[in-house]
Amino acid sequence: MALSSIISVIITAILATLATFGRVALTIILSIVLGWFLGYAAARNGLFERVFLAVVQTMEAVPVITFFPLVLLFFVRGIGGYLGTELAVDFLVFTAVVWNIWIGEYESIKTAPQSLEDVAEMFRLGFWGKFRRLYIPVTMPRIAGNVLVSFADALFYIVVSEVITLGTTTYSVFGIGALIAYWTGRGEWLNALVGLGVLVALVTTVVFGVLRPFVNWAVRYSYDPFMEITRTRVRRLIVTRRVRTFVARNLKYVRRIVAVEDAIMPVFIRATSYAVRHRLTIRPRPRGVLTARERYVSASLLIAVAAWFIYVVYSTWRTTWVPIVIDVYMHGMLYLYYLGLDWLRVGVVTLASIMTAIPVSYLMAMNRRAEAILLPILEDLASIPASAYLPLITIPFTTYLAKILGIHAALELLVFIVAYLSTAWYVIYNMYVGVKTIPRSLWDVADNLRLSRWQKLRKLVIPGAMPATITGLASTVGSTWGGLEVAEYIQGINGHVYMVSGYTALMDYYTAVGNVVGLEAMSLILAINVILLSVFVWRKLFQLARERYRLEGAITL
Amino acid sequence: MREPILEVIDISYSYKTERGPIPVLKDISFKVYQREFVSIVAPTGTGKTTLLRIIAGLRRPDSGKVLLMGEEVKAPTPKLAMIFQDFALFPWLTALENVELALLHRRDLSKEVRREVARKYLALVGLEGFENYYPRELSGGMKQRVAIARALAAQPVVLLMDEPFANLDAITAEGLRAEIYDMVFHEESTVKAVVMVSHNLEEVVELSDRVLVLGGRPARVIAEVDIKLPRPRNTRDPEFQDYLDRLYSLLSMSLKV
Repeated sequence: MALSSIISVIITAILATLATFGRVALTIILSIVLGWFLGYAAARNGLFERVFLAVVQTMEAVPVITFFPLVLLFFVRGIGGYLGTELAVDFLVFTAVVWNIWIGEYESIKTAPQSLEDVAEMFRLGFWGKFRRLYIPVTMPRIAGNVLVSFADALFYIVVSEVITLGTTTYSVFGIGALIAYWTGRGEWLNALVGLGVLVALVTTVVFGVLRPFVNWAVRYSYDPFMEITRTRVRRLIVTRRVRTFVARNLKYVRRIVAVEDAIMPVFIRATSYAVRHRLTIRPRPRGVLTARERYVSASLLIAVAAWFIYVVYSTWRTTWVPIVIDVYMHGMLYLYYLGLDWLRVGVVTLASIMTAIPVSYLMAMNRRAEAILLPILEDLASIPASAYLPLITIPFTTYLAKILGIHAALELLVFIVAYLSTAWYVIYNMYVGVKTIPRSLWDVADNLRLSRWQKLRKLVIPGAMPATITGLASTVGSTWGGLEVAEYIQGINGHVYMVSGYTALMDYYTAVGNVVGLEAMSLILAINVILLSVFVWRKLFQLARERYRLEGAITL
Repeated sequence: MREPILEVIDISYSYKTERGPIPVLKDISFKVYQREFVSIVAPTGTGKTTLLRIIAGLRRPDSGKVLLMGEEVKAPTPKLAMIFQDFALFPWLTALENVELALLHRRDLSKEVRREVARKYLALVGLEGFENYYPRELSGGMKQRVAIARALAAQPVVLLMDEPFANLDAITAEGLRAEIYDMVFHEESTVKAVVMVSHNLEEVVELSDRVLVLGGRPARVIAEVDIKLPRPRNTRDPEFQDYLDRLYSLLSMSLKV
């Protein structure tokens, strides 16, 4: 009886995970296909390019939670039913993954090698011919560079969004996130644990069975005409003549994996670091020059798009527009205070992530064995969404630690840990890519001058990793916000609600009690805040990273 | 008077930038005749490659025109096939598929025929047996051979070469230089004339029938030198050295113009 019930739990969990993965795959594929056309159009037309870049670069930095009221009103209430909820979930995930992918595709098409374009023209490949043989293939390395991160991001948000509670009504779709939340809510810990185990197993399968092979395959699409024949050092499996002991065989198996990793690694880094490297090192082709007339047209087009967007927001919120203003007027100071608190948390988490990332990435860059073991583990860990195991790690914080530290400190610690877990992997990853792009010759010089470990760290590793780390920050901060969103407000454990004083906590609370007006007001403030930040802070930082820390030799890894 | 194969008439061109146009080429005119190998030499950054791309129809000149067998070139065409400095091989296609690219516009050929033709040209450049290799698995010299096969497979009238040996090591470049003339004017080839752009004077003297020297800013044709040496040419030949010296002095003059 017990066995059969466990089996049925496992089967349900597998089906739910597959449903969730299906959503993720669909959203990512849809983003990729749309991005080909949009990226191509932007690379071709100077007018469209400006509009496209302005929109995408701004949206990239907006936390997913900002879209929440829009989703609630448009999909959940507007369309309604299971379909409405399903679309709402897919849309939320779409907003989490699409911008990175689109920018990558646009930049790849824009910087497609001139000579290949010439060949395509010369041999008259035609529109579809060029698309199929040139523009789609050139985007492959960037897509590969983004796909691991997109998969992780999408999973994180999908697990959160499969259950949406608005006031007294709960909307949910069939998926592993909803399932784990359901079991946790009913106190069925064993089932929840099994579900989490299934999720972890399947995530691992996808990362190593699908995504990594895809990345390795996509490497052949990078254009590097002067790369000479390279010999990968795949050690061939020695045929065993005798039956060996179980232990010996396993040891061999592990060694073999490490050997293969060793061979794949440089190729793999090539592809994944492509995204970061590309942004830093490849000089973008000048944007199409506009005539004065075109400049006016583009300005008016941009204004039109902005006006349309404002109109959409206004019309969806029309009925609640006045209350929103009143709400901001009444609670504005509180909102700003909470916003400040959350930015403080984001800052602390980012700093902590960087502090851990430095030694880890240094270790991986110096020690091949550590690299071969740590990198796959990091990738896998990064893909397991913190939002899925949150309910389980919450237990000690609300019971045991709450007694020792007091409930406030315990929850604050929990928020920190969850936000850290949803951020740290990306920071480590970015920094590691940065360290890897430091040219070999600089390492040789450092050895030659007999710099100490500490000196190497200060003079070489940290400045070398800077550009990749800084350019990565804009998206890692988005992940931190995601972590805050799930951890500041925890609902449904033994019927209790735990929350700290924070911006996303209040947004979650408003959602839970059905205060749509307050939610809209807060998401409006957040959107404005993030857009200003993107315009005035991130772009300046990117510029700095590019100019100050750019390594000329880093182009060829 | 012989009919020219290719005629370049009063080509002028300027780069369009945010700060306004920068003129690079001014009133460039020359003619190329049957079975002639013409080289254009100039210091780097003069706009040689741009000139070649204009001849290929890949870029429109501000003024002037290009005539191919008396007809104006208005768009890129396989009749003017180009070989690039960076080989321009599609990394996601095999050597054979890269050559087949040149035949895709020929709707009259079946897939099998295209494949056969591509195979034939790969064999012509000495790459039999490497059909299914990807560019990254080939050495620099082999990559440029694939590019030559691709250009020849397009059955061009004029072959345009943009510093074809610049990215090869010295020994590979020497070997390919010795062979390229025979490949291009092979009986299987439809090529009637070649225009090469280069800044390596030795290869220019070794290969060309006529050399045009560009100079000044914007660049003009400042000198024209006929090279009357029997083929195959020997780089140690004193006459060869005389031509080299002459071109060197012309080129250093072109920097002062």
